[in-house]
Amino acid sequence: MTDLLYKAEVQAMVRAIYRDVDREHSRPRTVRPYDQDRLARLPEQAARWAYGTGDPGRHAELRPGETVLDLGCGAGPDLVLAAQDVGPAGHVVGVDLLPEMCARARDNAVAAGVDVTVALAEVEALPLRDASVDVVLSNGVVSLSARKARLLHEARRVLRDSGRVVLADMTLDEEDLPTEVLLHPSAWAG
Amino acid sequence: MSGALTERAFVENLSSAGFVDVRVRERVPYGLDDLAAEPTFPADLVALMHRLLPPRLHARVGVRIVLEARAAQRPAPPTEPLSS
Repeated sequence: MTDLLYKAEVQAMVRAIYRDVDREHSRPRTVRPYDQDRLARLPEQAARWAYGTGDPGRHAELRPGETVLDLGCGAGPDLVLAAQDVGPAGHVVGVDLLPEMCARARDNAVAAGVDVTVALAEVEALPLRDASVDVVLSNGVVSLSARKARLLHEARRVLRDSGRVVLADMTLDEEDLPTEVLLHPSAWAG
Repeated sequence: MSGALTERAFVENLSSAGFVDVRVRERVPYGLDDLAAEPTFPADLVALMHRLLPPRLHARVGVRIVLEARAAQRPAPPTEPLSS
């Protein structure tokens, strides 16, 4: 599916859609993938962006003191929740392709009163050392990548042995969608 | 969504990247009505999918999943033979 387009074309589509997405006019909160008690832990400005594919942090069973990486952190709702879970003894790092999303994630972390590190980088070329992370989270990002194998190998590289990865994402029942759908810019970013 | 994998391919990719004990923690099917509620899915794309996808896929295009896996042990570095 991904070989219909160059990596740069996919990235351009993803950047364009997420730069312009308007969270004020999105679906009702009742269908979000987050439990109400977890949404309530987010500042309002971060909860508005809590529209991931799932809630990987809920399944990760994060422990105080762990180091967590959020691949493609977006505006940071999962980043904030993870930082609350690992506490001040832990460390949470978010990586995102878009400067606008990195800025939102930093603002949302400040609003939530948690300390996180947010880096502008491609999720297929992580600015982290080998074996430096206990848990990798990702929410709807693998499907946005034109280099999925590279992304997953990077996740493995930065994880310590026996570290965990918890990924929420969309899957398809069929191998291929019609070409007209695959090439629609919004079909990449949705 | 254009870059989404099948669940089987997702699991195979994780295994190839050095992960073990892959488990699906959650499965939530989604259809065209669910996509229409996404802020990143414009109405023209949903209409296009209604027109081009076979009706059997309208109620279920795929599944939102949460996968968990564990990083396999890295192989130990080769040890130098002791010099005599």
